[in-house]
Amino acid sequence: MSIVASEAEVAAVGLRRRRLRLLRKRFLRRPMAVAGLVVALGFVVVAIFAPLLAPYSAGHTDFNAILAHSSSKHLLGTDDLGHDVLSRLIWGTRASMQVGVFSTLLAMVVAVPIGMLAGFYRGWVDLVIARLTDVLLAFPFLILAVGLAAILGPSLLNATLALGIGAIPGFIRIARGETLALREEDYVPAAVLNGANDATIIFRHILPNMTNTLIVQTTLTIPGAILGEAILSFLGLGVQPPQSSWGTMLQGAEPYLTQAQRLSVYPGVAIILAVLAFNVFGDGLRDVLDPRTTR
Amino acid sequence: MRAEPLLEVNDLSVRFETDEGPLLAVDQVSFTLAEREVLGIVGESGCGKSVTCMSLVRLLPETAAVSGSVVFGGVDLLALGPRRLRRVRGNEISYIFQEPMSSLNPVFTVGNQIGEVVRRHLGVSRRDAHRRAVELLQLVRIPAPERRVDEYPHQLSGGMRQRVMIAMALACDPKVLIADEPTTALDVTIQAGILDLMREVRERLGTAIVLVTHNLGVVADVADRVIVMYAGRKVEEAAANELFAAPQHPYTVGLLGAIPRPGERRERLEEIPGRVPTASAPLARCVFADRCRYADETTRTQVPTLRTVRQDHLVACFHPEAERAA
Repeated sequence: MSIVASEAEVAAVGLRRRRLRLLRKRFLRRPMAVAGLVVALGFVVVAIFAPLLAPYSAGHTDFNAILAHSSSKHLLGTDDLGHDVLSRLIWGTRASMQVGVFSTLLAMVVAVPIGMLAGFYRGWVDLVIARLTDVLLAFPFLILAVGLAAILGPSLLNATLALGIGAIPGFIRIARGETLALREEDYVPAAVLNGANDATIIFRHILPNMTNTLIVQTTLTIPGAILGEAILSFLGLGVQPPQSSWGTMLQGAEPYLTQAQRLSVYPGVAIILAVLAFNVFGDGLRDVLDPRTTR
Repeated sequence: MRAEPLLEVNDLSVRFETDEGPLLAVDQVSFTLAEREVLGIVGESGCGKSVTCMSLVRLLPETAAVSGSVVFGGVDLLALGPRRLRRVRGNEISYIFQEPMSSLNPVFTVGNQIGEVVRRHLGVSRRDAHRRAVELLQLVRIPAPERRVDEYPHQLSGGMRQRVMIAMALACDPKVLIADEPTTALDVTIQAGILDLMREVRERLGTAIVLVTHNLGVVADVADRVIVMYAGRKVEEAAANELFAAPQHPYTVGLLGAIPRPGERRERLEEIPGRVPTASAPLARCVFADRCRYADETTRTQVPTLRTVRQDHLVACFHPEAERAA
């Protein structure tokens, strides 16, 4: 008996591996998505190892090199305060990734249970949640986040909170919609008739079937949050100097647009690359995970 | 003398509140199910046979108003609290759906899903549940059960999936198995296999089965007793042999006449003219009156009650075959 069981276990493992291999194959066939993944991962790695990679601290000033061009000492030059631009870019990556990832996680953790409850139990709970979500969705994401950040006060943590809260309505709508659709699947009444309670239905039969959608929504929310963080910081509602972020770098570079365009170009390019990479990766992931795609 | 029935349904009525007003789907249906018995419920689409079965296990949406009683093991299932109801569902009364293709959760292996039911009701370990799943797959004659148990639903054919559904339904040795059109979505050859399996389940496990179908051939094949439903009412009930040998209700006669038989060349099969009526309240007439060739004044103004016209043969008709012939 034990031999049979272990054989079966081996088969199961093989099966999961086969499915993963198939997904990987389909993913690798999308060069843009692969590039997106590589670049996005690159940013994440830089963010994690920022202390090792950055030549100087974010606040380090070199008064002998103000608005200096690239040199062996300052690879990307320095800004008006003598900050090393490369170092500030690297520390800024950390701020962006932190805000991007954690605000999205926050939104997901808060919104998914709410959306699922609304979709599963319907009735007045659903009515209240859905209408409230609609009202929040009527505000553009950034306006909402800017308003919240203004109320909460400027800091990295508050920017994360503001952007996370701003992303909640979108997540609620997705979770609710998926739940509404999945609760009508035949395996739900089948499970009910096998004696399953509501918790079993929700956690075993609905949540696992919407993970694909949630993964995709996550990878598409992160770039929005990254961009949002840059905007908040640019407006002075996010990361505060001497801490570095791409948004604050842009803000600091603004007066020197005519003299030192490179100060705007570096953080600008970083923002574009990061947002694009996550978006393209998310798109590719959606195509791969959607069983209806044939390629 | 008949033994105490396993399941007793009394005056079951189901009414739905729809946008077009109330709809009476089941009108005062009563029947019993004995141990080890296979009871067939036949009728055309919309006659209330599925709704009847769903109300036995309380699967109907909240818009449905159910009255009457469903007595099982001395308690009325219709009055049971949610917790006790869950202990009955899948444990003592199991249900098989028409759609085997979509009744399994796509993200878990079939063994995992069968095991889920076993663990819920019998509280055994994961390992034992897995072992039981293999046993059950063997019972429903799935080849190489040790391998199949770890496969996902999409790797199985429709017939296999229906076997898995049956395995899941049998997981806790239920006393009653309700099968709602279990073969309708399957190929004819696969159907025969599933029916054989149901027969075998009854023989080996002694499970009583309620078999809902619109296919009279299926009923003739496996059922001991048959209930014919029409427009929400039970119009005829008899032992399977008796029903096919001497149908009493003109509707049943019409149904049997509509079955093509090999070797009998006819231009056109017999048909029953007209359409099934829908009602918002109990009709004060025979529900079949509009389509019946024997309809008269009585049929249109009075409700026929069920009465015994032959031995163990109930019919709700003013002009049953037996009396017309006489």
